[in-house]
Amino acid sequence: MVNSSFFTGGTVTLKTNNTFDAPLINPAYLTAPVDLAILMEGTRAFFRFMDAPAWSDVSLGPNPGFITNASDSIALENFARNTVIANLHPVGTASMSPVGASWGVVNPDLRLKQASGLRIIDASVFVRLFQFK
Amino acid sequence: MICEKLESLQSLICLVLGRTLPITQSSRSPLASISQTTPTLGEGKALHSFIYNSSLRTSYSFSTNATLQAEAFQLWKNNRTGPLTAGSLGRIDQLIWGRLPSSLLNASDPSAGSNSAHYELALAVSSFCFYKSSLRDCLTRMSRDLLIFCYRPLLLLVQRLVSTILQS
Repeated sequence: MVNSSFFTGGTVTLKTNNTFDAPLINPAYLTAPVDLAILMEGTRAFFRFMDAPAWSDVSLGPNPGFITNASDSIALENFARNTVIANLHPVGTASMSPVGASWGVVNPDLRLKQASGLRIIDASVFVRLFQFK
Repeated sequence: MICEKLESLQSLICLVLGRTLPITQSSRSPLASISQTTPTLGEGKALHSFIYNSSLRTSYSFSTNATLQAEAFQLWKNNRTGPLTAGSLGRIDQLIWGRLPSSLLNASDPSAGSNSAHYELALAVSSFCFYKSSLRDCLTRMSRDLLIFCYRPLLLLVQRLVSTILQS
C-alpha cells in the first residue's frame, strides 16, 4: 500500500564538510495529519478487499484486530507508524521553478540559478510527486 | 544510483553553502555562493512511503516450507519453469487506486485533483516474510524485509479472483 498523495516534505542537508560523507536525510514522514490518515485508510482498504469471500480459500484468516475493531484507531496508527518505509525514489531537493521565482533551485532549462555552467539533470528537479491517473 | 545522486547533491550543497570540497580545499574557494537565492535547495524532498500487508495463506505456506522452496528452485534450475518464473522483485499485475472519504480529509487534500488517488494498493503474490519463522513475526515485521518472491500459480489465481471481484 503506497500513499500516492501526501503533503510531507523532507530535507537533505550536510552532515560534515566532507563531500564523501553521507548527508543527513530526513523524509519527515507523517508530519502532516492527512498523510497518516491516508496510510491508515489505505491499510483498511487493503484488508477490506482481502475480506471478500473470493479470498476465503487462501486467506490467512480473520483480519487483524486493528482492522476489525474500528474503534481502535490507535492500534492502526501504531501499525502504520511502525511499518511504514521508504519507496526509494525521492525527488524534490533541487526544485525547478519559473525564471525569476523567489523559490527553487534550477530554472526551467535545468540551469542552476545564479550560477553559470551547471545544470542539474535528475529527478531532484521535480517539485512534487504526483499520482498519475 | 541513489547514492550517486545524493553524493552529487551533497557536492552541490557544499558548493552552494560556500563550503569547500576537500579536493579544492587548499587552492580554491567555492565557485559560487548562491544559498541566499536558492533557499529551497535540499528541501521539499518528496518520497512515497508504503506499507506491506499480507493476507494470503498460500504465499505464507510457501515462504515457510523449505520443501516447496527446494522443489521450486529445482524446477527453475532444470528447465526454468515453476513458481520462480513468476517474476521476481516486485512484479505487480493488479493495482487499485483509492481515495479517502471526504470526511477524513479535513479540508486538506494533498492529491492532484478529485479523480486522483490518495493511496495505491499494489497486489502481488509475494513473500516478504520469506525467512520468517512465525506468522506473528511475519505480520509485525514484514515491512522490514524487502525480499519479494512471486508464485506464478497463485499469481494467476489472484488475477482471476481480482477479475471476479471487480466484475461482481
